[in-house]
Amino acid sequence: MASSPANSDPTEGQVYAAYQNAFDILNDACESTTDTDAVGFLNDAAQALGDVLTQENQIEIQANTAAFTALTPEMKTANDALKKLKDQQAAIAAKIGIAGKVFSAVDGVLQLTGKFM
Amino acid sequence: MRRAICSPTAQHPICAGCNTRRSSGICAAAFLSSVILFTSGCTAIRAGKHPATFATAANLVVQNSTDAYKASNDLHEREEVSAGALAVEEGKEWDFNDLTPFISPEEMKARTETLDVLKLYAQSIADVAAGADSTALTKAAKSAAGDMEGLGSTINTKAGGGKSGASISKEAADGVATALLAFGQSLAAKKANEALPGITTSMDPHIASLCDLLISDIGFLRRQAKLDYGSLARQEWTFITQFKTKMSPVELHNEIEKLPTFHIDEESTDAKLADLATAIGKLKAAHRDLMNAANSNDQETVKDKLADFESAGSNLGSFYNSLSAKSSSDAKSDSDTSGSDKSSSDKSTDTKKKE
Repeated sequence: MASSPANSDPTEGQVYAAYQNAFDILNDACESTTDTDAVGFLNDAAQALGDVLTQENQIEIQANTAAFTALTPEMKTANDALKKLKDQQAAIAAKIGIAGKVFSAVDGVLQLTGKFM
Repeated sequence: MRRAICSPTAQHPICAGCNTRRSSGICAAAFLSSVILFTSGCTAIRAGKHPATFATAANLVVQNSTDAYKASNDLHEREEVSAGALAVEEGKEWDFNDLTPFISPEEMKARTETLDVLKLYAQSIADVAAGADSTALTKAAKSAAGDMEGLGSTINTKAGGGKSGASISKEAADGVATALLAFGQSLAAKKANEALPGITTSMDPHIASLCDLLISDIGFLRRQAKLDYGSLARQEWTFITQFKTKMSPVELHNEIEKLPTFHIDEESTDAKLADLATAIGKLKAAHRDLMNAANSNDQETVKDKLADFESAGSNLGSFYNSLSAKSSSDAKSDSDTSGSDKSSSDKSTDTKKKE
């Protein structure tokens, strides 16, 4: 028999949300009293809980870091292909420039031969 | 008598009735340019202006994501210092060397390197798409026109002038140069059209993964910002409650004034991060559209989507610059007021000194 959704394990997001809710309640309680002892106690408790939540966020960020690192070489491969393409386009421009050099060379020959005509 | 010479590209059919000796040379140039223009046809980059749009949007996302990471680290450091100062006030130990960034330098490096690769990819795509209109190509064609005009001048004045009857006018040289440019553009566009579908198709899953990762990161930055602002507000309240009897009325007023700002800043930061996540989602869609445009001749179908994205990208602006500016402004305000309007942590230290 399949277990009902209510009996299934909570997701990481649900656990985090429950801790965040507790953090908010402690914060609100702290900010709702002017009793110095109570404020000190509630502040410490909220700080400890906040540190746990920060650590959880840092663990999640660290987990993503590996995926970022893995992506970089794959993306660099595409950039290498684009670099080759840019080089090919630059070569086309260079070949167009050769036409000018031909004109210039013919001009040079004509100027030289003109002196003897 | 100097005869007028027709433009090879626009008027060469008239040359059919021109003087035979001269027209043979000039019409050959005109014919050559016509053939080049004909063969080059209207070949254009199939992806149209989409690569440039994608590059602009990618730059915005890269810049704002980088700023968001830095802003997140700055905020968390602010919270840690505030907590540490309060601890010192309460007689506890705190070593400021124990400050740990929310995102370590290594983790930040992994992200900035990947974002730099994305930026380079977007710029390269734009460069390749613009290759047909590149400065180098235009410069080469203009140079050829200049050289051809020089050749024409030589023919007229030295070697062939008055004997062969042949000459090359500026218009003829420009016509051939135009044809050469068109030919070069055609070749460059052909190269791009051949390669871009494969490159964008192979890159699309990586762009999608990167965007998903960034959106995931933004989710954790939002959670952390909520925590840090919540802690800052609570620490400020704790400080006020515990030390209000040692403050002057003005000092107390200044401290109380800070309380609502944490909640306002929290909401503002969260909204900006949410907008950034939306923009990253649109960047992912924009690359898919770019890939489709590169693979298809039907540019109109994706034009509207990209225009929508471009608008969203422009609206994104530099959200985190405004945060940084605010942070700098706060810092300046702190220094200007010489302690009368300092953060709770600074204030705590001041109060301790007075004690």
